Amino acid sequence: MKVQLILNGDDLALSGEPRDSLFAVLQQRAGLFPERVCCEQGDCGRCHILLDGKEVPSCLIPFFQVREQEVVSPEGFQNTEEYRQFRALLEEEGLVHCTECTEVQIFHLFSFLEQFPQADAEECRLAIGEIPCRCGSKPVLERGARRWLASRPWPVVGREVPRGHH
Amino acid sequence: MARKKKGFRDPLFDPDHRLFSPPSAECWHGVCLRSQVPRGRVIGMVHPPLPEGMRLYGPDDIPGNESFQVNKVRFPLLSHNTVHYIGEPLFLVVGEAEAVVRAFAFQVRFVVVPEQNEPAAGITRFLSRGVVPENSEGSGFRVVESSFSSGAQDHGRFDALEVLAHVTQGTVAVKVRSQWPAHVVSSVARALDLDPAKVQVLATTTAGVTGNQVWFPSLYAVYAALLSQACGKPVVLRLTRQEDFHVSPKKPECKTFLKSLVASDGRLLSLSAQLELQTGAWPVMAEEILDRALVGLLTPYHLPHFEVQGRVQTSPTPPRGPVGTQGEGLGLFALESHVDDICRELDIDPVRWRQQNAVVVGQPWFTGLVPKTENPLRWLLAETSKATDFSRKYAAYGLLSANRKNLASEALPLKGIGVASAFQGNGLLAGGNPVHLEGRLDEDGQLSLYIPLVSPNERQSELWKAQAAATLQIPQTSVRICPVFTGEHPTGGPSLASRAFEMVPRLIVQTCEALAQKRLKQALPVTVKSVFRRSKTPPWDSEAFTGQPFLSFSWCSAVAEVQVIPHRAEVEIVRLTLVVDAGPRVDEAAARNALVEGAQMAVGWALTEVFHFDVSGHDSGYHRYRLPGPRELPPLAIRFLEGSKELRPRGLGNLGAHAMAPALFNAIRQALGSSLPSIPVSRKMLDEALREPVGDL
Repeated sequence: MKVQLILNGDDLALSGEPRDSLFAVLQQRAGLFPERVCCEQGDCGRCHILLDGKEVPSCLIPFFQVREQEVVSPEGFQNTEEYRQFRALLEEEGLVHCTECTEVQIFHLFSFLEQFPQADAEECRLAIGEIPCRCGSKPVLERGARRWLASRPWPVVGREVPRGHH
Repeated sequence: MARKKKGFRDPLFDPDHRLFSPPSAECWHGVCLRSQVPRGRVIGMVHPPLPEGMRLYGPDDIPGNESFQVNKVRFPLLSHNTVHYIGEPLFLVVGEAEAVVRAFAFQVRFVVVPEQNEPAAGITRFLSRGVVPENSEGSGFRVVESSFSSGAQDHGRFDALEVLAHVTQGTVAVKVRSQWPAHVVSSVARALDLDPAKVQVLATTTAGVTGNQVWFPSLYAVYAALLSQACGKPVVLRLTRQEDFHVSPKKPECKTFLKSLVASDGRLLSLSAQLELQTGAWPVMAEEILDRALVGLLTPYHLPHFEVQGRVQTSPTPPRGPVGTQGEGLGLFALESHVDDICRELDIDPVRWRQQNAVVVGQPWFTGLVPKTENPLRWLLAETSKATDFSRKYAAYGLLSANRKNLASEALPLKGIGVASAFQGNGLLAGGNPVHLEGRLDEDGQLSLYIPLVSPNERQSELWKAQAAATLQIPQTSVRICPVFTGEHPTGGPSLASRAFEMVPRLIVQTCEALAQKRLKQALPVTVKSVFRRSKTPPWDSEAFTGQPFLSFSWCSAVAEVQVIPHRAEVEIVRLTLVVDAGPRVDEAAARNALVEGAQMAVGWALTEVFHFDVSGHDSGYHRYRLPGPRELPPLAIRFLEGSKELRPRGLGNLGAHAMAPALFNAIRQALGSSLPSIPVSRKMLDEALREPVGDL
């Protein structure tokens, strides 16, 4: 079967079996997630994608379900200006690249910070902990997340109070 | 090994590159068919009809040597009739579509007659120095006894093993994430009965130098190569995360019994210890792990008399021991926990006891050598104690613990603090494979370094480049660390952290200095080969335990503060502190990252990572095995000891793991006021300890 979707900004059709997971098709047919082994149970976070703007594990999404939807993978995210800025900030904090998790962590953490721009330190820690890995980059990611949030203007919620009014 | 010397040849840009990255549509997929029982004699196999194009591969199909060898240990690649452990590969299957191959493999059942196999020959060690005095209790001396056990620990990496093998016209190309490419070459050549020169391995970046990729990838590289030879296609063999969890080598379980004779002022007079390692069906790496564990027991403190026994126990479970460097941690865990028991028995501050008994200049070490340099343990302990206010807190929490009536009904958290010291041995000087390095300076001023060790990350490569550039006084951009490709690189042993820090930098400097001299005398390109040679110190004798075991030692001291929440039967780690002496830091961020990684390993080993080898095969425990999450991992305060006279950086990747586990265990035991027997400290163990009547603690 063929499924039409928008993958990393490209409008294309991917073919696969109805029983295939989105992860399997993206890896085997679209060349994404190279040399990556996923737990296929939604635990490891290695296959996360943005599906219509929402972060989901692609190993649990049936391939046929993404018809006419927009998919952004970590590889697609790596071509954006936001990725470059966020990565540069993390490297300033002392990020040491982990072949297993760094790209996934950056993708996941950035999605989380975009979704919850008012997250506190504890919430950031919990979000980082959602991608299990042995490496020692968690403190760096935490510091980076806090700095990123501090550097962004908070979104206005409700009616803005005019200056001088209390 | 025949080597092609036609200028620089990077396999990633080579015309033969296709061998290492064939289009995925061309690749076939292999799966191992494993035993579902722990022991017995195979009398048959039941499976659905083999789908067209698929092929079964058995032990009789192996053209070369049917055994797999790691150092002195050999075991069958595919066992003929006998099952040695649960999950042992008995057959292989290969086919075009991975899903179809896996679906077939899922339905295969082996018919096995239960049978008791002869266990593999065990490894034992017995060491004794001096005469262990008789029990002198009552005459101002005390005898303290402890026994501890520690559980198995998974590598915890989610990127499970994947191998690509491509056999064409009698040559083999293997792409694998391995820390020991030379071993992949020799293993594949043995099994396929080929000249090793016909096997080329592209070793890709490993996930950390403390990974699990020493000998295990070689085994699966052999399987993939055998299948590729049989089907004539490139074959990918990948383990699922669950499969990897079941069969990949774990840190071995260890049981230790220790008995010490101490003077009333705290002086350690003698130590006797029995240490038993559980290594699964085959004692792969067990000899090195056992030796290192015993060195761990004997190194930090001055021992006028000692008697230690070590032995390896086999069982019908997958082989343990991914890497030898885990050994020191096992010995240190038992020793540092035992020291805490001594301090409690004598009512002495644990920091003061350790400072009092640390080996100092002039005192003979357990090997008989007298150290020439000061052991930094005393300073490290003093710094750690000062930074954490250890002595005051230890006394206060001890008093609180002694005054409690009923632990389970305590409303407030039970607080505890624990200390431990540890070392990391860098560059084991017993046997092993020599490390060679080759450098070539081309006409265009480009320096190519062929290092047989796989760099764990780009930062490590950058450090090596900076060192070469500084020595040769050329721009860093002119230095290339060539991807590890066995057709081009000199052979070498496993890529371990200590080698990366200890041997490679020395070889880079040696090579670059030789190149600098040679380029003045002859036209470019010039090539220099270097090999790491041992220093003049007496070589390590692993049988007699004499000589210098390691090229260098790194030291650290750790303090853990915890609170046990009685109504939740849960441990909360409040603070972790680590003070380290590992020479000057070349890369501060990488050093901190390695220490955090080690501390996380320790937290998992001590608290959350409960692993049981279930020989019935009904319960894998995969879903209950939990890496420490953000709740268990508070910020780690790290302090590097400045002012060390040592100018060379030393390895520190294992320090956090070696020191933090006993520190945490000691802190939990102080909070509970009881002697827990083992790690990981599960919630059930805590619950039982909390329910014990206080008088019995």
